[in-house]
Amino acid sequence: MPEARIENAIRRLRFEAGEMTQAALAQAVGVTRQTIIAIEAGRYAPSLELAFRIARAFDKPLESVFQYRP
Amino acid sequence: MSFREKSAWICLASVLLVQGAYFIHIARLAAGGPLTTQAMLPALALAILVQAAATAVGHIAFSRQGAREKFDERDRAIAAAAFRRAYLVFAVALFCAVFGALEFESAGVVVATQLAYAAWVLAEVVKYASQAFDYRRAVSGLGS
Repeated sequence: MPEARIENAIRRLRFEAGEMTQAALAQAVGVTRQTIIAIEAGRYAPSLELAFRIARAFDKPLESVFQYRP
Repeated sequence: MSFREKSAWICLASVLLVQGAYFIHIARLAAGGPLTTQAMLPALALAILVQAAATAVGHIAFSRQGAREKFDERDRAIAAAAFRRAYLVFAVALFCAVFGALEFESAGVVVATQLAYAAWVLAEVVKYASQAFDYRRAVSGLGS
C-alpha cells in the first residue's frame, strides 16, 4: 500500500506572514523549532491538535495549511 | 541540533564506550579462567558508575540549552518509537540469554548474569541509536 502524504503550506504562509521565522511559529504553537522544521519538510505529521494550533497561528482554516494526498 | 538529539548522542556514545570497555574487560577475564563474582562485581559497579558520570557530564555541558527547550509531541513520538524497538530487542536478547545460560549451565550464574546484562545494554544501544536516527532523519531526511 502506498504511503499517504500530508502536505503543508507552512513555508508559504510564513512568507505571507511577513517572513515569520520558524522559531516564532514554534513559540506560537508551543513546540521546538526542530519540530516545525520536520513538519515543514514533510518528515513529521503533526497531531490533529498541533495542526489546528498551526492553522490558528496563521488565522487560516486547517485545510488551507494541510492537505491530505492519499 | 536540538538538546534532545545531543542527549541521545551523548547517551549512545557513553553506553558504547563504557559498556564496550566493560565487556572487553570481562572477555579478557573469562579468557584467563572461569569468571567469578568477586572479579565481575567491581567491574560491573564501576561500569555503571562511569556511564552515569559520563552521561551526567555530557548533559551538564548542554544544560543551559536544554532548560529552554520544551519536550513536545515529536520528542514523545521519537521516545515512544525508541522504547518499542528497544523493548523488542530486549525481549529477544533476554530469551537468547536465558537459553544461552541453560545451554552453558556449567559456566555458572556469573555468565548467566553477564548475558542478561548484555541484553539490557543492547536494548539501551538500540533505544539511543533509534532516537538519534529519528532526530537526524527529521532534520536531514536521513533514511526517509
